[in-house]
Amino acid sequence: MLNKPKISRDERVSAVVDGELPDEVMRDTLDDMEHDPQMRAVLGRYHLVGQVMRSEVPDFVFPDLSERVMAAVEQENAQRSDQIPAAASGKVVSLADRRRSRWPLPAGVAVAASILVATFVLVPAMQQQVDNPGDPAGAGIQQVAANTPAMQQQATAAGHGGGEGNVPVWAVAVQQPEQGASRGMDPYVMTHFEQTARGNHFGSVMPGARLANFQVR
Amino acid sequence: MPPELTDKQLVERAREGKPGAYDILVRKYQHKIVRLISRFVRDPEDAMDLTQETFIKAYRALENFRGDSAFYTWLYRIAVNTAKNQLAASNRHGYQVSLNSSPHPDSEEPMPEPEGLRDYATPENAILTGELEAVIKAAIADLPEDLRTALTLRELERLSYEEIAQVMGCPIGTVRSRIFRAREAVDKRLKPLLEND
Repeated sequence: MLNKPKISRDERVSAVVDGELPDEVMRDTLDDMEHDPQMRAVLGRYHLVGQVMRSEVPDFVFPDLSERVMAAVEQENAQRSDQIPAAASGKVVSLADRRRSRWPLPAGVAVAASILVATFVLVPAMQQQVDNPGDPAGAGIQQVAANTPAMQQQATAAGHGGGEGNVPVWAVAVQQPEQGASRGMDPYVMTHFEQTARGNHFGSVMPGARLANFQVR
Repeated sequence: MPPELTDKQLVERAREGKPGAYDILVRKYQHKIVRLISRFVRDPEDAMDLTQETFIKAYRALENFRGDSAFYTWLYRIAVNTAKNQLAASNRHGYQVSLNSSPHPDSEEPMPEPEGLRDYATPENAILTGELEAVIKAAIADLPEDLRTALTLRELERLSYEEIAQVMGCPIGTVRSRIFRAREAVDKRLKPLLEND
């Protein structure tokens, strides 16, 4: 039976290379080696001697390879420990937070703008439509829309242009209302295009679209 | 304790967050992995980078190592996959090397040389194995016969201490001591070579 004190440090390292230490002494030696870089360096060289004798090494040997690997491993550990405190502190990232983080600020502003427009433009227009059931479906809306600065500008431009060719597509749609449920959609489409025309989302469906509710009475 | 069990113990320790344990495994297998990867990629610098990548991947995946196979076998698979991925990337840039074959861990067969293979200069900080061989052979030749015999039986014949003790007719403790003294003598000549470069 081997006793740890009777064997020198490097002799134990040599026996570790050969896997020829009793379990208890092996455990103690591995403990020592984990904290002693010099012992690990000796172990590396002892392994190298045997591998060179058996022709198990490549054409080139990189003496600093293990240092480079362990530097990368330490970096990996540091990154892990940076991540672990957030998880360990019980900080839970909610699904809503994740969704929110996916929407950049301009998109959020666009959503808010859509809701505001729906509130201040469409609701009064529909209210007026309810108050005047005999009125053609688009008339009330057209009137409200005509009061907006953008509409006035377009109307002025159309007047000076002297023809339908200068009237924007959405304005034509307002001027030629259709029957049925699509009548309720027209102002929404108009507002949608009006809002998206200034941004990068021209013509695309905006996130707040489902918030609008149209009921034609 | 057999070397395989030592490896398992080191893996367990590395999993427990002891990087020194993983360093022991790296030092043990680094040259074999470089040699394995060198069968796929011929540029020594690439081989070193891929070896580094292999050990980092293995470290990240230590939790997945179940111990069904030896640690080296597991590491070997990671190294081959890493090298093949690199080859696939090289193929996209004009290299023509088959990915279907991979060498056996103990095979001496080199991979087919890629087209347009060029001679590579000695990488920075690298030592030619020929130099190491010369130093080690000279050191072994200068050893007393009992030390040289013990070391040769261990390293080349892969005999256990007990078997060497039977062959040499001496106690196991003496075998352990002789092998250690032989390594120590060789290391005295080897260490300056590794530290100077």
